[in-house]
Amino acid sequence: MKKVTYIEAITQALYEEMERDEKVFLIGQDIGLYGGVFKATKGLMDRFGAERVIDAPISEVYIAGGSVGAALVGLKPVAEIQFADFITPSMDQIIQQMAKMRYRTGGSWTCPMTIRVCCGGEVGGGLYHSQINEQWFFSQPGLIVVLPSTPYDAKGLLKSAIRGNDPVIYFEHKRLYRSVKEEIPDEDFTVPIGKAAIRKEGKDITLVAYGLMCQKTMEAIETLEKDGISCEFIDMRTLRPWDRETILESVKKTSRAVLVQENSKTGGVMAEVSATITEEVFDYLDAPISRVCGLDVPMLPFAPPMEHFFLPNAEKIVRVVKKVMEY
Amino acid sequence: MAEKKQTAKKPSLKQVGLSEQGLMDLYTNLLKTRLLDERLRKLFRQGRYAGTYFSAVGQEATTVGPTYGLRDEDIIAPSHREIGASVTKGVPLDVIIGQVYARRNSPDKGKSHPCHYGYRARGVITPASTLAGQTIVGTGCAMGFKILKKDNVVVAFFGEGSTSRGGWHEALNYAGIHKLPIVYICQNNLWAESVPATLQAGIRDFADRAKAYGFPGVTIDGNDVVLMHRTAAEAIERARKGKGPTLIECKTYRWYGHSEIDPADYRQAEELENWKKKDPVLRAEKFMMDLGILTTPKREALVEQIDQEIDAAVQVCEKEKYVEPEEAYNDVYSEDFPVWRDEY
Amino acid sequence: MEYKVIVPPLGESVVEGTIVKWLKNEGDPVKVDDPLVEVMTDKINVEIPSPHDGVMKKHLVAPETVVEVGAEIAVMEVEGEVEQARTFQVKPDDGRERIPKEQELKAPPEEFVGTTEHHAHMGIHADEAAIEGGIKAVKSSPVVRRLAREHFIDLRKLSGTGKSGRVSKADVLKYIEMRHSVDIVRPDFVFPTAEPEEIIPITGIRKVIAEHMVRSAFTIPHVTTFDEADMSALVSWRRRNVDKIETLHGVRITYLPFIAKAIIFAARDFPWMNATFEGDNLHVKKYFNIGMAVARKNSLIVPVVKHCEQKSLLEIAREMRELGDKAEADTLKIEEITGGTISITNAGVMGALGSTPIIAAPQVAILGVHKIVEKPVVRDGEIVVGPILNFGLSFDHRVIDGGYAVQFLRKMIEFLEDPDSWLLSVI
Ligand SMILES: Cc1ncc(C[n+]2csc(CCOP(=O)(O)OP(=O)(O)O)c2C)c(N)n1
Repeated sequence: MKKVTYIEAITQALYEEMERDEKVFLIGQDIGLYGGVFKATKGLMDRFGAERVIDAPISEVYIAGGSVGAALVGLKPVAEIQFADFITPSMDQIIQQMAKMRYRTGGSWTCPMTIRVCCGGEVGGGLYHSQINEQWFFSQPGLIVVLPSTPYDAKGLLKSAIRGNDPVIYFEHKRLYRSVKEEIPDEDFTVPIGKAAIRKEGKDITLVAYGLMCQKTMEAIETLEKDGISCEFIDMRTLRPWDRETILESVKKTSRAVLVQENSKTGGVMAEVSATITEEVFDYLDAPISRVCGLDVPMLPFAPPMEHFFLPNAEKIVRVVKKVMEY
Repeated sequence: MAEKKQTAKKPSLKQVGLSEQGLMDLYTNLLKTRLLDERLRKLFRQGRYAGTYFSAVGQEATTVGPTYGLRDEDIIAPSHREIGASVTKGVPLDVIIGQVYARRNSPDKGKSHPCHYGYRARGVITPASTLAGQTIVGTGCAMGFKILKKDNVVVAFFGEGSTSRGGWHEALNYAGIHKLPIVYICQNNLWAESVPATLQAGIRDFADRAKAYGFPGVTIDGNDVVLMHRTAAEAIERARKGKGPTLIECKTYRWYGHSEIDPADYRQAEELENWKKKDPVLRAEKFMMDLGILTTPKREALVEQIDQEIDAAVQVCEKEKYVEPEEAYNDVYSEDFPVWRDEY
Repeated sequence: MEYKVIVPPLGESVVEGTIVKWLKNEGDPVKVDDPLVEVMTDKINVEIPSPHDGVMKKHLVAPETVVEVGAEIAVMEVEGEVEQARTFQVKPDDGRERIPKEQELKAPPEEFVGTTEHHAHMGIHADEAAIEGGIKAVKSSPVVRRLAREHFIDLRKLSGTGKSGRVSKADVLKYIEMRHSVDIVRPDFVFPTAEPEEIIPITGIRKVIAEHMVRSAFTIPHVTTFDEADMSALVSWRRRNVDKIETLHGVRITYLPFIAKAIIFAARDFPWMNATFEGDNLHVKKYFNIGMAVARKNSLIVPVVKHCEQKSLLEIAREMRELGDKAEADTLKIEEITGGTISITNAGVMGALGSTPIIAAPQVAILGVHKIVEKPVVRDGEIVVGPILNFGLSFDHRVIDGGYAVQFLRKMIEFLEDPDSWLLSVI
């Protein structure tokens, strides 16, 4: 067991998977010589060479689509999109090729591959270095979408993504890169895709979050528990296909739910979670489901007061949970 | 115009195509850009503003030269390293610094990002970070000018790295078909963040890309502000007359990291030293002193004057407050539509 | 304020009625308890009393209109703030009080099929109207509504601790807990025999009776089996005691209470005869509410003597007389004519020697009783004269087999022919 940061866990996963399977290769901007703008791929080019750690030109369409092609001939691409903000050009290839390859070819062609996407706010990144955009991919059948919140999950989910049979959009939150540290096993392990983690059990209310919002939610829970509210907390980890069972069972138990999402509210992941809870376990609800989300404005305005205002935080979560409890 | 790799000949005012005052103005803009850029770097180090800063020191001539002489209604389609274009287009210094400081007086009201300079009154489009974005949008502006039968032009700036984007090619292709009034300035500073130009394209000179789209492409010394101006002015004139676009590749170099948090350790120290010898500001000074237009005392007086201007503008921005948090709700839509507000 | 007059519950399984006539015209002043309107159902005619003082403002439906229970039929102007009447649906067949046929065969027949096993054992069932009424009246969340239905809770009994008094899940769970500790006496349950105070006068319903009869006759495949009882022993017992009993107890006892008891004894072996057939289920009753048809001037009514199994012959006799008097005076309550589990009709008083009575649905059997006549009977190989009573038992052939009914009737006759074996236990 060693204490590692979230980003170190990612580097480890890449390193170990490249050691394990020579079909695994990396492609992305500034990932080779530079070791990545956040240093996630530090040292990998030295170890595996420029053929397996490819510095890509500023060609996001190609980074995605080229990886799809490489996967078709049997390689295991792990592409990197430097900022989720700049994934937009790739959308064409992700949506039209990657997501639908298996389906449109009747299963005869497949593209098991991973696109790592560095995302998230609270880093002073402003309008174009803070986006997540997970909801676009969340809505796409054929894609797997994950967003870990801990070093353990970061490593385990990345390994599952690389070893799996389906295309994965692997979001990594840049605010978590160096702010969370935990002990993870030295030996090989994976974290199953599609399974949420119950971070804390409780009986009064179910809180659901993913990514950076897990930290905020845990912070809020500390306050709430002091005030006698017993919170159950679920970290979704995989956004698509999301773990309905774990969330629905929890809500059946607690009858209340607050869903926390960093991104803007409208059309977000939690809208789907909320709708499903209402559809499936309506008869167990004791209060309206509430969401704590980023503002319904472009994610996310730069000036510090606006950035703070935009993002959910522990205080906001506490207020919303209390409102729901008082209902 | 057709042949590539022109170099500056021995100076004479006639060749420059500018009056003495004009040359002085060109130089003043260059110097102002340099001084302002260095000042903003220093202020970042002092923690005077949030975010980061993209310095353009070393490549000022590539933006100042082409911009000088443009009309107010002509459009600048910048990327992230075009502080010189804003300075030269006459954007007030407190507006430029305001953008970096992201205070209330910033034209984007603190929404976007430092270095995303824009100013409607001077035709500067506030950029998105998505590289080559404004090249595409700028081409659209040119299309608009053509449809509106205006004799305005667009000058689009981008790095060589940005030319790898598919959308960039779509735009140039279109401009070639319709002979749009636009001049493309490719600032080839040899590195796109850590990626060398050799990994960006299979060609040495990015101006070659123009061939594929049926309009002229030239590669010039980007550290010669006079040459930059002259070449661009000629292309702009062509564009205004409806003769179509030009791609000007200017070889240059950024002295500092990609941003202030980049140590730029991927480059050789020698490379930097060589390029520092080609400092565009020193070269312009030499050129002007050779012509007898500039003297050292005159230069020093100018520096002092500019510094005071910058001081005053920084003062304004330092005193300015941040916007209120609720500003976040403004400008999502026109007034026709409300924005959903959640109370937390 | 405006108060909406609704059609109140009109007896079990009654879901609608017909407006006969308005007893208060628009603009009439109304005192509390004044009859407002006469409503006719297939069981009974009722006058709906006013719950408040006020003025009849508007009739919402005209006479001859068929109205559902719970429907708004008029608007009154009343003084001050009063609670609106609670509307709810009476569900004649909502699946709560039944057992599936197969399971029923195995279940002990005397088991009352109640709301939950626990309640069934105690012979109590949920007051569903109250539960639904509570759900309607109280602002509650889905889980609270679900719990209220699952645990038979009238939410109005709870004080909510949620926002503006909302009853929360926690409140309900606490209430359930508390109720457990109190046990037995559960305010949300009613005993089947509990009778409300309200007295509703009865008026003529000849047409409805006809309809009811037609419906019973044509939906139920009737079979009638006949048998005779030699009433010698009972006749001589009665002859010896009837006057004595009358002077002692003030009731002149007839044969009907004896027949009622014989039915109860015989049903021990043939429990399905005492049942109701509703939907797909046979509700086998462990109690005996015996309807005793009474002829009146121009109509027939079947008052029900409740829980005959718990009553003595005298009590039954007394109650029969009271109900008969009320029938004559048109003062029967709805509760007194509903809830029967089996019926007896006595055509003998009119002198009939035989008849094929029509079953009162949803019951499955009716016993026709006729005149006792002196007939030649063979006793110990000799022809003698004896008092003979001819019975005609009609049964619902969908659920009762012929052999079953025949044996039941024979068993019953055996009890009647040998009163000494049981008389002492029921006096
Ligand atoms: C579409 C897109 N991909 C990636 C980035 C991240 N990024 C910002 S600047 C930069 C390098 C740009 O190189 P170049 O276009 O040559 O301009 P320079 O920085 O050298 O002036 C990169 C990769 C981005 N902003 N947009």
